[in-house]
Amino acid sequence: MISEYAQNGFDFIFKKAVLSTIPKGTEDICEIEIIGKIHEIKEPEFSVLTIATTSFRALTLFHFNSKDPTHNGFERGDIGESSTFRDSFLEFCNMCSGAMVRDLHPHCHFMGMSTPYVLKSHCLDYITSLNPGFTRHYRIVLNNSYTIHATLCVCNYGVVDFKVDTTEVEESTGELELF
Amino acid sequence: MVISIPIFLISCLVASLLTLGFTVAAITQKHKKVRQTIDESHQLLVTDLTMQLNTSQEKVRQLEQIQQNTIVVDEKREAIHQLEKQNKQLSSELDIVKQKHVADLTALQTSHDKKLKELEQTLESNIQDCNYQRQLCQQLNEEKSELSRQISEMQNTHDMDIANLQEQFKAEKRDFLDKATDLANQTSSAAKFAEVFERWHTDMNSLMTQNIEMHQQNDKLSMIAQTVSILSLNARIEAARAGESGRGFSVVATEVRKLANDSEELSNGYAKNLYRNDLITTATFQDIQAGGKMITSALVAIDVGCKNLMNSLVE
Repeated sequence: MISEYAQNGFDFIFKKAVLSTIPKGTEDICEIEIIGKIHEIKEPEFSVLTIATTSFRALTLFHFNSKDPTHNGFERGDIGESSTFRDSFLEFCNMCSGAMVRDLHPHCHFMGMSTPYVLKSHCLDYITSLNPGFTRHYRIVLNNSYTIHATLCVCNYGVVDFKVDTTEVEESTGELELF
Repeated sequence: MVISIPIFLISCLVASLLTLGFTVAAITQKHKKVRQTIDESHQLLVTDLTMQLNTSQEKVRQLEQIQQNTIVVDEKREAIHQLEKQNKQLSSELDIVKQKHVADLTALQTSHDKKLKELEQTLESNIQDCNYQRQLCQQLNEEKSELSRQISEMQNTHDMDIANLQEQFKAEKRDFLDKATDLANQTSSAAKFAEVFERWHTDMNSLMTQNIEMHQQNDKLSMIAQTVSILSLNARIEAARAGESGRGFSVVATEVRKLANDSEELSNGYAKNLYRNDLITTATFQDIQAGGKMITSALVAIDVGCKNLMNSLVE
């Protein structure tokens, strides 16, 4: 069982991680919206990355279309030394999960993170095979022009209950927009 | 004569007139004086009356003041009367309190005397106790001397025991240090588990590569099934054209089409299973990889703890 506090905590930490790692300029606006239907996700591929603890594993899925001409945001060289879209995108996924690990650390002392892997979108239909205790899909829009989708899937192996302090980000970075 | 009479008369008349004139003048003069005197008297009288009026008014005011003072005096007299009543009441209460206090004092005195007697008895008893305690002290001093001697002997034995224990502790510390060193070495070795997990993760890559090949093979199989289906349809058309002689061929073509459809269905199901397998395999191997890193970080923490323990033992 994943408590409501923990579910809200996962949601908050995921959004915070995306906002802090997505490649964007200081004046860019990033909006994250929860979507109810998996069918709204049209991208043909997604990257998957696992955060493992003793009581749960959290899979972060970032859906993308490598042939989409509007994905220039990931090729501006904002992330590391990566040059291609795929490398930049996977590095973003890695950094995002790393940020999640940092924020989850006060609640779970021992954690490990995998390297990212890319799968076809057909695999998303079988996400229930992993018996997740909490699944949420997101639409991430940068400057009303560039859209990607993401999925957070948490599989628990016992009771997962922790409370995240959500006032921290609101106080320090008031300009971030969470939806 | 006749003339002298009138003259006389006239003279008399003139004299009378003159006299009258003088008299009138004198009377007028007197009248003026009298009037002046009357005016002065009147003025004095008015002034005197005004003063008397003022004095009367002042007296009236004084009378009013006296009247008010009389009221105040009456009130004060009443208050004094009340105070006297209160005073009487207080005096009676004071008498009662006095009597009570006298009774209390008497009782206190009695109690005090009683307690004094008790204290005297207690003092007597304490003096007896003190004497007894003094004797006891003497006995205790003797026992103390005996105990000191025994303690001295025990101290010697204890020092020897401590020396033995210190030797034993040093031996155990060396043993514990050796064990901690072994544990640290084992932990360092266990940190190599991460390599095993990474090896498993590499296996996942080869497994996923194999899955991709299987996807491709399945796509080819699906394509073959579709082609066979089209060919069987063509065969049925050709058999229909051949008429009676092609009837047997038409049956075979129908069966082939059924087989092709079954193959395509099987291929679709197989493709779905492959995708499901891709997700589960990836999630499982990523869990293994991440779990390996988690175990490694825990082992590193244990290793650091072991080293800290060793350092504290060496110190």
